[in-house]
Amino acid sequence: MSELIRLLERLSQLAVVPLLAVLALAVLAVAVVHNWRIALPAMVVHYVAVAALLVRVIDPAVVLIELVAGIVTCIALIVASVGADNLQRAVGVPSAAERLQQPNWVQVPAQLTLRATAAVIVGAAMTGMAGRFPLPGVPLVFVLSAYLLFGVGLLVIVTSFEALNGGLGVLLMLSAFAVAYIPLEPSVSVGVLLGAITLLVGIAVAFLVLAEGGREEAAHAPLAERSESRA
Amino acid sequence: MTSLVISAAPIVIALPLVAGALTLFLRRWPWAEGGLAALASALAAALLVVARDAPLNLGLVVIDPSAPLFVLGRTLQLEANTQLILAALFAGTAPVLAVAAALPRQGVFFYPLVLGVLSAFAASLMVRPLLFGALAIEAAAAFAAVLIQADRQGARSTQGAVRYLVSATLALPMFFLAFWLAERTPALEGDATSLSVALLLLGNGLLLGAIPLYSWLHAVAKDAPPIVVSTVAVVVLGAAQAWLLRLWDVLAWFQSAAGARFALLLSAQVIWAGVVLIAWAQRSWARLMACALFLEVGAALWSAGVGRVGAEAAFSIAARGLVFAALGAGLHLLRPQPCAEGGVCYAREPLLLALIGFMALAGAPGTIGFAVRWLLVRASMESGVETAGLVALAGASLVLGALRTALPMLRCPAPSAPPAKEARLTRLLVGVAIVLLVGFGLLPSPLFFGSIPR
Repeated sequence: MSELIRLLERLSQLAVVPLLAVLALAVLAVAVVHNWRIALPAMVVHYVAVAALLVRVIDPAVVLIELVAGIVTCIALIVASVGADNLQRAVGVPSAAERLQQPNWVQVPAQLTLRATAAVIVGAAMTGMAGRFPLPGVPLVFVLSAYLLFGVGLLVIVTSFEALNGGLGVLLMLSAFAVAYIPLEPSVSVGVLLGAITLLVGIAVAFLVLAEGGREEAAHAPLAERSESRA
Repeated sequence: MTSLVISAAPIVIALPLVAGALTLFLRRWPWAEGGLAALASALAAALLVVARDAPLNLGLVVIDPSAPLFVLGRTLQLEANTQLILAALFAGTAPVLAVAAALPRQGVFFYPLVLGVLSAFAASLMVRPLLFGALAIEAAAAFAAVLIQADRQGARSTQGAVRYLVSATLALPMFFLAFWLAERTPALEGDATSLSVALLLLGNGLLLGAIPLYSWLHAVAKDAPPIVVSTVAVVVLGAAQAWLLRLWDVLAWFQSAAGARFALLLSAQVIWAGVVLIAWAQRSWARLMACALFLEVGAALWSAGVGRVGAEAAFSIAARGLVFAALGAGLHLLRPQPCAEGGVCYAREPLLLALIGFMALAGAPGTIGFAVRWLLVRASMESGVETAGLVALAGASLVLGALRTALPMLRCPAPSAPPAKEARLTRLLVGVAIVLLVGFGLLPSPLFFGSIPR
């Protein structure tokens, strides 16, 4: 454990710009690529970058709790995504790995370009907002990171309808909240509470991902829809 | 020997959690599972009501709701109005849980999830600073998302759950910024006040599903099973209403901002106008349930706008529990059955129960809904008769829509008899629901928990 804390402290000694760049690239990957095999590792990188930022203002042991909660959440999401992939493969839907190996060249370039353009615009807007509307009492690097995470989280939510991407958007926004709030109140209870909430939300999203991957069964369809179609 | 004085806050938070854990061991016996969950909810309500005016003396232990509890630098304490509303929330949830026990199970963890949501919402209504209440709501939203999903499968089955989770998460930074602005500038003035109020309104709008274009209400009503929709209407909407009323009650700058009151009242009127225009044209129970939820959201916003944060709001939340329990049971039991002459038929009893539920929701005289709407109309008369008319029209539009949906189901003769056990259960539920809806309609005073408004 102490090795991990030392590693975090070493990471926090990095210059701010590379840390921000890593964070921006990670969240950009989440926003642009809607494939869990890329998005979830990018989420892990984003949690590490956020931890490296937070360790500047709070006890590293508390940051470690946040980091572990984030990584456990990502692992839960990976397990759920694998399960959902298996369920979908059974009905002929290509899995995430197959979609990476054989991309749909008709749709993918347009989707990637659109999302990348939107992400760049959102990133630029959020950078501008961080300068224009800073949060007094919060260091600029934290303000910039919080705005960036919030903006990209929102973008991920509005450009997707699947539970996994919606959930990743929610988790990014929770990270934004942690980055904005922890410098204001760098206490153990806040760190632990935010870590616990990240974990809870992550488990809920994993549950939704698995449910979404399953086959719809007529017996489980809501009554109102059935009656609507028959009445 | 001196008695040990303990705060009621940890009991109210822990009781549902413990009961939720115990229900996991009773999964083989759905009646016991649902019964225990309903009992825990009723017990929490009873504790809050009994200890309302004076601490509850149990000999060795005295339970004092006003006693603060300090946990990791935060304070858990019940304010007087919040205590009443929280009691109503638990009291309203009990009938829904009891009814759910008689129906097929709604997801593997239905009862633990409902109780977990209740516990987290209870914490959100007691904790100080208020920001931690918003964090507790986020935790409740995680439980609620799984509850809304209700073990259904398929590509679009998660839409309502994801939308609710996103709405609750979007509300979090709004509350954070509003509280933070208020904390930094104790004497809020000008732009800071306007911004804080706007953020609070937006955050509450998201929690209540009142924000146009991104409301979670219709997605939940369309996708989730009826009894789950009823649970959401009582627990999630009730808690969001309680949170709004708490903010209105404790934040003087929010209450005194002229724009806040105007925005709340206008939002309620717009929502009711939308229900008037839309509900009558629906021929789907799911969409009618969505309209019913919007009607209640309008009522929640209105009650905050007119400052009804005490007994009247508590009464409306408790009454909502009874009405939505009936509505959920009716729609849940309304299964298409093969008709003797071919085609599909529907049993009459659940249809009757659903119609009575919609009538109670609309405020039909003789039902409990009438008392709720009467209080709302009375409060509305102070600001003009138009709103009272709008509420009545919204209710009428909802009933018209329900009748239009029910009529095609009545065309065929009664279906072949359902299994005797199911028929008995349906009749029992219909009978109990009618007795309760009409009984409390005629004698509503017990649901005011001893604080009948003048």
